[in-house]
Amino acid sequence: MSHAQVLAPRHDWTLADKVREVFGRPRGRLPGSYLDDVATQRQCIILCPQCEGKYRPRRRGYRVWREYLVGGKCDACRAQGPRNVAWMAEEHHACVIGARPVRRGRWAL
Amino acid sequence: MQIGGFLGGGAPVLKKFKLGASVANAGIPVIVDASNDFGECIPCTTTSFADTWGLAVDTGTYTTTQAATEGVVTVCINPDLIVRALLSGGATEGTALQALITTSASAGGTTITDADVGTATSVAGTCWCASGNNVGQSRIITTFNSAVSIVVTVPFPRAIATTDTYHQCPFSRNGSAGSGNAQTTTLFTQVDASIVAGTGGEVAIVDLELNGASDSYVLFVLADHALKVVTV
Repeated sequence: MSHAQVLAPRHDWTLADKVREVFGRPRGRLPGSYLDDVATQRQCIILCPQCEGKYRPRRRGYRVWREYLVGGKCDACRAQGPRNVAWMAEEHHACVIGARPVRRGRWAL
Repeated sequence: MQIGGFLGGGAPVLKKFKLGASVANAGIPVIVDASNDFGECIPCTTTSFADTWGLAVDTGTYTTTQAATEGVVTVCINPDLIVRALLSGGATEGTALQALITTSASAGGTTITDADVGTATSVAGTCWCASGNNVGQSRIITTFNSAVSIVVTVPFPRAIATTDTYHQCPFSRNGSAGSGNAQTTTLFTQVDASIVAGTGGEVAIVDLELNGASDSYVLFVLADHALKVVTV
C-alpha cells in the first residue's frame, strides 16, 4: 500500500520544501520519536488510518476517543483527513469525554 | 467541561493552536487571543466566552524560552459543539448544589419556601424535585423572593410538602434570561449555578440533565464563536 509515511529522513529538500511552514512534526524528524515527545507532553495524538497501526499510544497511557472519528491532521504523516482517530491522555480523557454509563441496551427506569 | 455531542451530528474537527497563555486544564473553552500579539488562543474568563475557538481537549504551557517545541493546545473547533458542563453550587469546582428543603407546605404545588434559595435571582431558571412527592419533575422559575422562596407558574403535579428537597439552577430554554448566559467556576472546568440568571458568557442552552446535587449537567452551545458571526 502506498502511503506518505516517511520511514527515513529525506535529504533532497528543495527550497520550496524548506520555506514551507511545518506545524507539528518537524521536517526530517521520524514520526515515532516525535509522537513520543507529544506523548510526554500529554497532548492529544491524531493518527490517520494508515498510521494508526504503527504507533501504540495506549502504551503511553492514552485512551482512544471511541465515540467519534475526527477531522484533523495526522501527527505522524501530516495527512489531512476526515476519518482520523484521536487519542487522549487518560487524565484528559475523563475531563473531556467523561464516563458514559453502560446501559447494555436495557431500559433504565 | 465535556464534549456532549454536535448539533449537526458530524465529526469533531481538532486543530492545534499557538498559545498566548497557558491552558492548565483540559476541557475548558479557549478564546481568540486578542490581547496579545504572539498567540492564537488563551483560556476564557469566568464571565466571558467572547470569540471562542471551542473546547480545549488537552493542556499546553505558554513559554518564551527558546526551545524545540512551541506551546500549543488541541481545540475542538466545531461551532455546533455541544458542551456538557457539571453544575457547581458555587464558584469553586465540585461544590454541591444547594439543597432547598421546604419549610412551608404548598398545596397548590407552586411555592418552594426555604431561606437557602439565596439572593441571586434564578428567574427563568429551572427548579426540580430531588426527593418528595414531585421527584423527577421540573418547572421554570417565574418569581424569586430573595432568601425566602421561589415560585413557579406551572404547578408541580402534587402538593409540595415540608422537608421535600428541591434544587435550582439559573438555566432553562425559556428564551429570556435563563437561556443565554453562563459563568464558569474558578478553573473554567464547570459551570457556576449560583449566579444571577442571565449573567456571564454568551451561550445557547441545549438541554439540562437534572439529577442530584453533584451530578447535574447543563448542555449548551458556545454562541459567540470565532467561526460563526462576527460578534453576538
